[in-house]
Amino acid sequence: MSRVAIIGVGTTPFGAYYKDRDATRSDYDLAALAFAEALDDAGIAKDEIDGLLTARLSSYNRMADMLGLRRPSFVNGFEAAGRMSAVALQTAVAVIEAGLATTVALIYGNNGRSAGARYGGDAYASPTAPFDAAYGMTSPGAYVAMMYQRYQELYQVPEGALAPLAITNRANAALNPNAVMRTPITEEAYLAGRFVAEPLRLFDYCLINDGGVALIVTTEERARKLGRPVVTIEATAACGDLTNYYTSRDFFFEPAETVARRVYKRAGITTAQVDVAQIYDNFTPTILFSLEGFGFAERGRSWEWVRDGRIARGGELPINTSGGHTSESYMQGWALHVEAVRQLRGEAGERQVSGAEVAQYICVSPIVSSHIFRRRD
Amino acid sequence: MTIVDDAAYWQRCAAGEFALQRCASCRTWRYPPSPLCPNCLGREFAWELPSGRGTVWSWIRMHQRYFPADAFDLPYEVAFVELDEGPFMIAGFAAGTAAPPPIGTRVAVVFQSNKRGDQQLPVFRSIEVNQ
Ligand SMILES: [Zn+2]
Repeated sequence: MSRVAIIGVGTTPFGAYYKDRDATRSDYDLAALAFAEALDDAGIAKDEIDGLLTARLSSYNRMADMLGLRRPSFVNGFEAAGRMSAVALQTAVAVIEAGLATTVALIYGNNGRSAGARYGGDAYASPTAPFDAAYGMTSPGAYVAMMYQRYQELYQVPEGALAPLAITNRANAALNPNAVMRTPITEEAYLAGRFVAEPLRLFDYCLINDGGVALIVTTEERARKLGRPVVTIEATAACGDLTNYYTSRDFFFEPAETVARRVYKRAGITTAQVDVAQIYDNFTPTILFSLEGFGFAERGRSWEWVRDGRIARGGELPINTSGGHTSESYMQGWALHVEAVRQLRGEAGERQVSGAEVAQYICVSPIVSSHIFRRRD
Repeated sequence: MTIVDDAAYWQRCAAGEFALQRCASCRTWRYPPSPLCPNCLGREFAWELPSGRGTVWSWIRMHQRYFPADAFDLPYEVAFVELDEGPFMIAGFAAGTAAPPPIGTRVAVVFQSNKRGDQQLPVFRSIEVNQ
């Protein structure tokens, strides 16, 4: 079986940009910085790239022109939604497997913090926004809060059950020099955080920021010639849960089960073989929904499962080792992909999970998606 | 092709009437307004009166100021209701609802004005189980 491998990863500074808002900062410029780093990381020449996928940027033409990538064999641009990071990688895999391109650059740029992105209010677009706004309903966090309130009531979950997720993310970020928020938090601090969309509190929310992320992928055969640890995409799958609302009626359980079945079967593994997981956490409850839908924890019990260090770096399933969206930076899943690669290459520094060979990316959202990555020496 | 105007829904609300589109072919209800039936793709429909009853699926309490201060007093509650006819609907609880009712509570539509006083909104109040 021919596989696709990730040969280059690049990220801009996150912490530094968070401290220094700059209204003139360009999302294209951020994307270009990440691309240059990824290209350097891959150790290939720019003209070896024959596929271009951009994300969140309004024009792939503009990006291609800035980077001098004039004649890619395959090109597309993805919308700003975070669920698109996995979909873009799936597209790259399909494009390479189909022979439409050989080496694909995926480039993401986001100047949301400096541009004042709010993800709510009159400018917020959703299928039902004009109707929901009449009641003051807006923002993805509020639709996730809607799920978590029901989850709490259904499973008699006590107040503060999300705290271990926020605390673990922060503890991981403390070991990540590039993370935005690096000061550890306690349960008391978590509970003292103000409500945003109750029952969600401040530390349940991702950190809107400026930054860029890039990935370069190619065939495993080509990757082997580069003399670096090879990280392959062993399996990838997705399943929609497409309604008018971000609020999923079963907390994305059925689509997650479907995706889990497919990726574990294709990769030939079970949850027990996953050494490290990067779980899309625009808001902390999505980690619980992911753990249940993918079979790590029993339905309705993941909030207990995550306690007592199980998801910490030295635990049974280290999660979001870079600090995730609530502590590293909200790069909409893109930086979580990079962290998976760095963990498998053994390049994660102080936050390295020792001996990590298999990493999983999970995103529960209206497009539930997952990949299994493996280090193949 | 029928042009569906969201205003048609709000005009009925302004008259105190909670009406939803219903497919003329397969009789499926839908909300919010849409030009075609999600079940059979039929384009013929009528505005019909549902029971106005449903079940509380969940709720939140918004503390964040996303909208202008003259539109909402913080914090405020928002409900997610599963209508007996099938569609889900973001809505509010009727004024005087002491605390958000638990999930599964049976509710019925009543109309009330928004804070600005320029729109009549269908909102939900709890009803007795056997009512
Ligand atoms: Zn129909």
